[in-house]
Amino acid sequence: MTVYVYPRLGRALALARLEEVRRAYTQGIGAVTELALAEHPRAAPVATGGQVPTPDELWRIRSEVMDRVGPWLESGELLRGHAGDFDRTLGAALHELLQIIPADAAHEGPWSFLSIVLLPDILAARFPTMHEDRALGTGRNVLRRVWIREEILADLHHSGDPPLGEDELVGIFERSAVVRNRPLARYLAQAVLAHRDASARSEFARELYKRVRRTTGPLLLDALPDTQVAKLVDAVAGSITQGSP
Amino acid sequence: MPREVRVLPHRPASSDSVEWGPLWLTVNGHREPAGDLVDAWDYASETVVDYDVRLDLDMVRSSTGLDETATIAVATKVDCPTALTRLTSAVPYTGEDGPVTSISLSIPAGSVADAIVITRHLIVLDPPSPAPDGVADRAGARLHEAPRTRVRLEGAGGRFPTEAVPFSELGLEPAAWRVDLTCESLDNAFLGAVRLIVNTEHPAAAALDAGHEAHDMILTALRCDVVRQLLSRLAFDNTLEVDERGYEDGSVGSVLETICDLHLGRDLPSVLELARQDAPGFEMLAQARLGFLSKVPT
Repeated sequence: MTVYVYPRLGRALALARLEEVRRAYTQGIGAVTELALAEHPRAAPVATGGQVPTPDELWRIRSEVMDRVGPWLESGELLRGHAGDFDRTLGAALHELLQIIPADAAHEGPWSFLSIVLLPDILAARFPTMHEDRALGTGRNVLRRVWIREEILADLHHSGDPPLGEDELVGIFERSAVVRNRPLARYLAQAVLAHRDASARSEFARELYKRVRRTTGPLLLDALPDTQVAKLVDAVAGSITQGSP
Repeated sequence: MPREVRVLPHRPASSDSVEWGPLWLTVNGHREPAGDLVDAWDYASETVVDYDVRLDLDMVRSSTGLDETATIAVATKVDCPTALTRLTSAVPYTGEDGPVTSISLSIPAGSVADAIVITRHLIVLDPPSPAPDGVADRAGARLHEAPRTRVRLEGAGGRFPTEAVPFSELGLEPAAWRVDLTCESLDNAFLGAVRLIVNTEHPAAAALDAGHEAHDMILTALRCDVVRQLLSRLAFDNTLEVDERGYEDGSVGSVLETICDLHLGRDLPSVLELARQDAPGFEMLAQARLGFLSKVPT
């Protein structure tokens, strides 16, 4: 059940705080960990509509998140090849522990607070250059991007051998007009995971997304029962596999 | 900018066959016409969209070529780009209860944010297959569409997203303002992607107060600078590609297209090409068309 709204850090203050985190990182990840805080004097949540976690609750959330992703961060930086597992674990942890109201999660401020104030070491470890678009709470934010993947794909985020790769996920999420049809997003993910040739899967995914997007003009896919959406995706997937135009 | 016209590959329903009634919003039990901005809405609010629609089913069928075996439905879509979610309902229309059907769609509390776009459609759910030439033959085919309605749930209307802070406290250079654009694609909502951060310690900040004698002049400089910074950023950012198919209302791409069309007299791709190939020409275009420093106090 989602009940919480989180303190919001405005863009200007987030940029200033980010500079502090970057300076600390020159001393190592430990210095960034020491900067983590459960509150900011100029971060305030939306006025009404949800419960606000106390600083103690925020600190507990931080502790539990760090427990789950800690094994990947022992060296202070995410090792090559581990990003996918890390992101999936982080996404699941955030989704379970934050219990953030989706309307609050739609805003930049809460994610800027969570990334740069409460969990700056995760930001630094996952994206050491700490580019603004990973630190600020917009769509590519280090935490927000994995939370929304967990929110929309749920179990599919953790399925498959191999699971959906970064390119395959970006392909679903980069066109928000498609991903806002959440059943469609899930059927696309399922179709990609079901593709037999794992080595060519990313190429198949790109073609699948492109062809399905083309159908959205004359058709109102959102109004169809899930079973018909699934049939449409399967038909497009089949046509690609058979080499049909 | 011309309104988007959807060209369908099948026969649409004639305009005379459908009459869309006004849209209503009920927020926490209070019902009012759906306008630009909703009062007293928050994340705990229960919200319902409702309206009536009148159909002449015989005229719908004759204009679309769909016979009585095809189920015609009234679909309502509530789209929230900011929350990455969409709610839809599709109600089959039989006409058994008369030509007017009442439609309602509930929006769960906490599921949407910022603004919603409400669209209404006539669609076919189970068309004939095979279908005669020109007749819709795929489930979900659009037959008719009402004008879309955008409703702001949060925020202060259409004002430019602005923050005012003392730059010295943030360790920033003592500039008058900073224009920030953070987005992964031009589809992202403009209000979420862009920020104007004004330095309260700079003399220009005081002049932005409405009563200041230099207010109008500074405003022209501000507008020009915001536009040229956004367009310059887009011109030289390889990760932000311009989509010739256009953008949804309220997106970064849509706002920049409108600015170029209405204020610079050129389309977005042309302006960006100018910025890349002829920087002085771009700067002069922006200054001239946006009235840079045109209101010098006398």
